[in-house]
Amino acid sequence: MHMYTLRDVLVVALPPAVYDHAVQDLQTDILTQIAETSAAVLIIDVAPVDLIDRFFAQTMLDLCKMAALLGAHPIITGIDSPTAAVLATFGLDMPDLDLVGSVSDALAQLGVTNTEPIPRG
Amino acid sequence: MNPLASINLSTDLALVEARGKVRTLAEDLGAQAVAGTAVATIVSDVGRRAIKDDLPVTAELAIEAVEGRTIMQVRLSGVSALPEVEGLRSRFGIEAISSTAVDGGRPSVELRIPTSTPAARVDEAFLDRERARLIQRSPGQLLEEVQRQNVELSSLLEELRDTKNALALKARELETVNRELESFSYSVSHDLRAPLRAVDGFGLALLEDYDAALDETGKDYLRRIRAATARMARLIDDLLSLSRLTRDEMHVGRVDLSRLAEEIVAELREGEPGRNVDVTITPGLEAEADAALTRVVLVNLLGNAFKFTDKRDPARIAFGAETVDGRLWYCVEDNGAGFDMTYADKLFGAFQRLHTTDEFDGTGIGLAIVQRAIHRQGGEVRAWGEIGTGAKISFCLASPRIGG
Ligand SMILES: Nc1ncnc2c1ncn2[C@@H]1O[C@H](COP(=O)(O)OP(=O)(O)OP(=O)(O)O)[C@@H](O)[C@H]1O
Ligand SMILES: [Mg+2]
Repeated sequence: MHMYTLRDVLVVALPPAVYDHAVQDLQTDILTQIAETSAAVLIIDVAPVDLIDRFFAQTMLDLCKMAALLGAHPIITGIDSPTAAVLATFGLDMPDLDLVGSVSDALAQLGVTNTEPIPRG
Repeated sequence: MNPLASINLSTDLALVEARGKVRTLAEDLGAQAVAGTAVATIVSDVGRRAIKDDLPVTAELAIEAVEGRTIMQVRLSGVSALPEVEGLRSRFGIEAISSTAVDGGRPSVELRIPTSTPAARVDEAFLDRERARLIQRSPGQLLEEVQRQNVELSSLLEELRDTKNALALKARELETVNRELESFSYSVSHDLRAPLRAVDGFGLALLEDYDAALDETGKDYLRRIRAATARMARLIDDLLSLSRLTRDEMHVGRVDLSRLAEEIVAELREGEPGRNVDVTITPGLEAEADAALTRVVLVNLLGNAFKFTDKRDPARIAFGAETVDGRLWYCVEDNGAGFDMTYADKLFGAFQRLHTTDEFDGTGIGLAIVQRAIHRQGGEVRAWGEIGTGAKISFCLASPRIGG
């Protein structure tokens, strides 16, 4: 997993495969980072993930809820249309969730340019 | 059923392998993308359960011809029922057929996915090719390579992040040190003044109140003590103005350099009315700059030009501009004493002088101030000189591309 901060946006790029036992660490890492940087927006990029099954989708939804509790508006990027269709059909809707095509689209919508990472600390 | 591939869903890696193969086969056979994804999702969820509960579950992939069409089969052995999923049949046209355990065998669920491949196209060669395709997708070839590259990439990223953090840290440290130095020199200059005033005051008291008790030599020594304190007071003042230069806020605006030079020259002439000084100022030179800092620069440069030409008649001083390497350089030129180019870069250090106080008065802070004022505005300054001929100090204000 790779995380970086652009202004008050925390961008998380997930690894190609996320195994069950790593999921909790992943959530903890991301939530800690949100708290540390007081990020206002959390972008989770799932584009690299090989397949988003129901378990994984549920994990992401939980993470988004927790992020929102910490004050970070969650955005998920990189979900392709078959995946979205399958998840919806299988009863996993993402009602209040922002689904955006790509990280750069999301950043553009937020008015943040991807070219200049601003170091924080 | 003669499977094309068979995977024991017992490890995370096997899970990744299975869903990859399901998608590959679905794609190759021309099943709908959503159908392939749906089946891969089910296999993945079933596999996760099996791993968690430590139950043996196998996924087998096969092909069957039905009424001239090819059906893709995914059999999950060791599973008696699928997790609750809606719309499998209505939305994706996938059929799920459960078989209970027969003859001590395991229960299983078979998923049947319609594809667009005509049955006629499926011969032995087709099956061999598909088998090879699916073997290629085994973790040995694909996943490990991807994972290896991932490890490399993440260690690179780690390094990059470390470097970035280290740089940010260094920058912050430098900033702190700078600020400390600034306040240090400021308070030192302030604290030095008090004892100096005392020395000077008591010296004056001695001269005035003990006039009769001192002979001429004694009085001369006292006068020298007072002259030295006066000089030291000036040094302190200069230090103070140098540190103030970097603390005050900048206000950048349009500055008329030519007019500024005219004003300064008029003041300098008033200070030395007897001298014959020929001054040429190129009119209309303007810049985006901080007016106060720019004034400091010109006061010092023109002041030097006046000072170091005091033995010339007529003294010649010029303020103008020239373009070098696409940048506009302003310059103050004179026909004065000049200096040895060997030490040209020393001139900009505080209290560095190439002439003695007997020859030319001064503390040696002027060019240090000039350099700071110019660097603060993102500019550069250079000195050129030749003993007995004169000197030329050039400066530019903005970064290279912006020009003058
Ligand atoms: N126009 C010039 N011609 C010849 N020498 C110069 C000229 N300008 C500067 N210098 C040399 O550079 C030295 C440093 O200049 P700077 O302005 O810093 O100090 P200063 O004029 O001697 O003293 P201060 O400006 O503090 O009164 C001078 O002492 C002199 O040796
Ligand atoms: Mg000077």
